[in-house]
Amino acid sequence: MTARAGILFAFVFAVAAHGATTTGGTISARVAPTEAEVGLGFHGVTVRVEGEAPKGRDILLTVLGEREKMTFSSKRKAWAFWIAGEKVAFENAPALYIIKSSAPVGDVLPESKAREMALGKEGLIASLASSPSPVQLLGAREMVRLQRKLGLYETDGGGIMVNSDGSWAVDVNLPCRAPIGSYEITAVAVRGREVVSTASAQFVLKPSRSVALLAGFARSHGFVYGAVAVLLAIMSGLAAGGLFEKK
Amino acid sequence: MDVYLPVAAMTANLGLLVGLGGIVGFLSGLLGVGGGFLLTPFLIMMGIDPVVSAASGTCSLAGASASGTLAHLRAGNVDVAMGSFLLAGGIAGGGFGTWLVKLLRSQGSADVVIIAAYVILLALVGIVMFVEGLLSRVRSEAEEKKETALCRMLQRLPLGRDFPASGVRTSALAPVALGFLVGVMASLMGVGGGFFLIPAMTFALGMPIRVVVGTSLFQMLFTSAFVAVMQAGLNHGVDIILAMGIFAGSTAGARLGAMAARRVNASQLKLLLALMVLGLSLKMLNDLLKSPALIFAAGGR
Repeated sequence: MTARAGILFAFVFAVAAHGATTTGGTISARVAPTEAEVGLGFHGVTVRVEGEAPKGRDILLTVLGEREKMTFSSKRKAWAFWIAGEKVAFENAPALYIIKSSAPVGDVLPESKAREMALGKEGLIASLASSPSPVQLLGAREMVRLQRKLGLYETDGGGIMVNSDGSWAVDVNLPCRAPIGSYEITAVAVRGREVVSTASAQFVLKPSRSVALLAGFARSHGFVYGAVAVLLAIMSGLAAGGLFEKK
Repeated sequence: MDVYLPVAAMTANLGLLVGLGGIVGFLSGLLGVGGGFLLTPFLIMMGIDPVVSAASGTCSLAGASASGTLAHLRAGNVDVAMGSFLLAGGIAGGGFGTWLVKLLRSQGSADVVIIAAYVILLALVGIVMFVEGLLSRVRSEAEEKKETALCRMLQRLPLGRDFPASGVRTSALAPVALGFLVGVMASLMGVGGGFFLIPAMTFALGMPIRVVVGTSLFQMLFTSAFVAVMQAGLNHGVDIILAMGIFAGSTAGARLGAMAARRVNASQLKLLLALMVLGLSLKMLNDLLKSPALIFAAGGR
């Protein structure tokens, strides 16, 4: 990600902190629940985000996972087969990106502004590309398509219900593949295609003790974990064999 | 009931995993095939990472082959000397295969290579099973015991020795090479290699079928255990919840399959399974040849 895009992300999320905060005093955002556990029965979580805004505002909401370096391999055709080609890395790409809106993003903000603030599909692609070159933009576009397929990026918008009194709400579904970590939730109020205020909140997805133990053990002590897994499988196999023999 | 797979980092339906293990185990008990070659592609189709699918399948295979190995050992149906040479090759092949997976994964081509290997493997297995199914009624036992030209060729290789438990003489290099190939297949595809090893031991080494099955299981147990540990250590690919879910289903399925084998016409079923395997191979080949929907694949973070 470029320094330019970094500054833009920083602009959008500058007010991020624990709990809900607002700027401009015109929009608020609350999250419920503020955290969820990824246990062995986890199959995604729905987070309710709601708040208040003056009447007549359009609202955009983004949910961003922690930023990290992501590396992808492009595919190229060799003979008749599609094989791995060059590697493409994206610095500081959000692990998850969801945008919600009270109206189509293109209707709420001018395209240039949406790109500048990394809002919507085109804005996200522009922010991911390290340069505006066609190759970088193509790479970023494909990366977004891949993440969308995995359910980790949602760029279509929509879903925010705004009531006549200015209160608004939206349900955000975090998929079962949502990475463990903290999520920055930012609500943006727009009037006359201009951003007038922002509010932010945080949601944390944390592993349950069993998941943390298993995943951590598998990653930090891979060989020992493998030996334990195999031993457990063999013992279960022997036990099952004994059980069936008795019957 | 959904269950979160901590290493695969996704949710899967536990009933589906146990059911899949059960189907594979049932076919294994019914037809005498290991079933690992069917398991991994189905796990991949469920959206589980190919490396995690293969590694976890291998781990469950170690459990599934444990009780069979013990039973055959007790019955004296294991040629431990032959099994040890197979195992030596299997461990070398397993180590090489795991390193290969790590290399391919770092280049982002693990998916393509695993799927391509499966296309070839499933096509071969399908053809062999189809031919076997057709010939099983007409082939006499005397023909099966006949020493093949390959047997005689392997006997002339250096390091020849007797294997009294099997009643054969062959070069020690032959079982080591066979074991190596099975080890590579186990790492790359999560298969035990029984479909390859059993005919190879019969036709290339000239071993009697009574000892072949027990020795194959013996080799499979240790090779799959070694490969699973290596996969967990080098590629972080073993998901214990996934492996145990498959194992639970396959153990029960294998017993049911063994019971059903006494009542049904196995040769007809073998033909049906052969057609299914060939169909799966064609589907995977089509996936490999057609333009991908995405020109990106995750290449590690």
